[in-house]
Amino acid sequence: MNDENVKVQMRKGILEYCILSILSRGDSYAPKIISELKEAKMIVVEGTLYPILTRQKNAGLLSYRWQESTQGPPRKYYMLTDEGHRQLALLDEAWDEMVEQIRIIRHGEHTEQEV
Amino acid sequence: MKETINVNIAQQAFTMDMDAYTTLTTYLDDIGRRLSPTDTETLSDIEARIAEIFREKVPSPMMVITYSIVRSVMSQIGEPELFGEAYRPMNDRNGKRRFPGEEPRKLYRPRTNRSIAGVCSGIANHFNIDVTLVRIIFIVGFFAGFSTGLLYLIMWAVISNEPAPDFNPDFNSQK
Repeated sequence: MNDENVKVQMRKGILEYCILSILSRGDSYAPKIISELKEAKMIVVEGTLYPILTRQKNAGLLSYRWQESTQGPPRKYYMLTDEGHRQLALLDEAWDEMVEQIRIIRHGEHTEQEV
Repeated sequence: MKETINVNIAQQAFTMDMDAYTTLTTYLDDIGRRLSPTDTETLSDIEARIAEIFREKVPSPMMVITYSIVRSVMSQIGEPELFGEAYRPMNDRNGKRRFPGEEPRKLYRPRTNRSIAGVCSGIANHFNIDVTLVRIIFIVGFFAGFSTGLLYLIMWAVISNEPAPDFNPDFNSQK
């Protein structure tokens, strides 16, 4: 496994969390979500996103509506459902906890008092 | 001068070069068979995205989508392998990608060398045995009281005709 591969695997696991997080800031459509994820270097190719959106929608975390756009055909706007918001809150919690645990693992228990 | 084809991608009209079209078709087929069989949505989302990128790159409907545009869209969307293992082998029975020129062994009723409907001929081709032997088994079976006659009729109905010959050597789609 090369360095880049390690990073790719790491990002893959948190991609679903990132999508929920982006949508919690407002409804969005796929190309816009893609550009945000690309900017954050979370994805390299666009195809990664679409199966996840479908899966999250089928799991009841997201829903969508069609909205007219100024250029081209109507766009699929995704939004979080109540279940999606609940899931995101869970993941936020898990994330904070994980960051804290990783900090302890990396630097040892004693650094906790210094912060 | 090149031959072009008019296509509808996500309810939008595009004119494509033939090589661009065949490449895109193969690409989309490959993605499609890797998605869950119940999932029709993801592929249409991807098609909508492809249509959008085409419009960005070729704003005028008078202009043609070329092979290099299709290649660049493909690299933007990503390798079909990204969508996981194939659920539904379309090009090959083993789910492997088939390369142009490699023929999959599929049970067809051939268009040539048939006595009635090509059932025996198709079986012989498939198992790589002599067609006469297969015919003898069917005929002897019929007179010996086995229902090979009925079997023949069922296979006639079930086994599809061999696809028409493909005139484009680069095109390996079996759609």
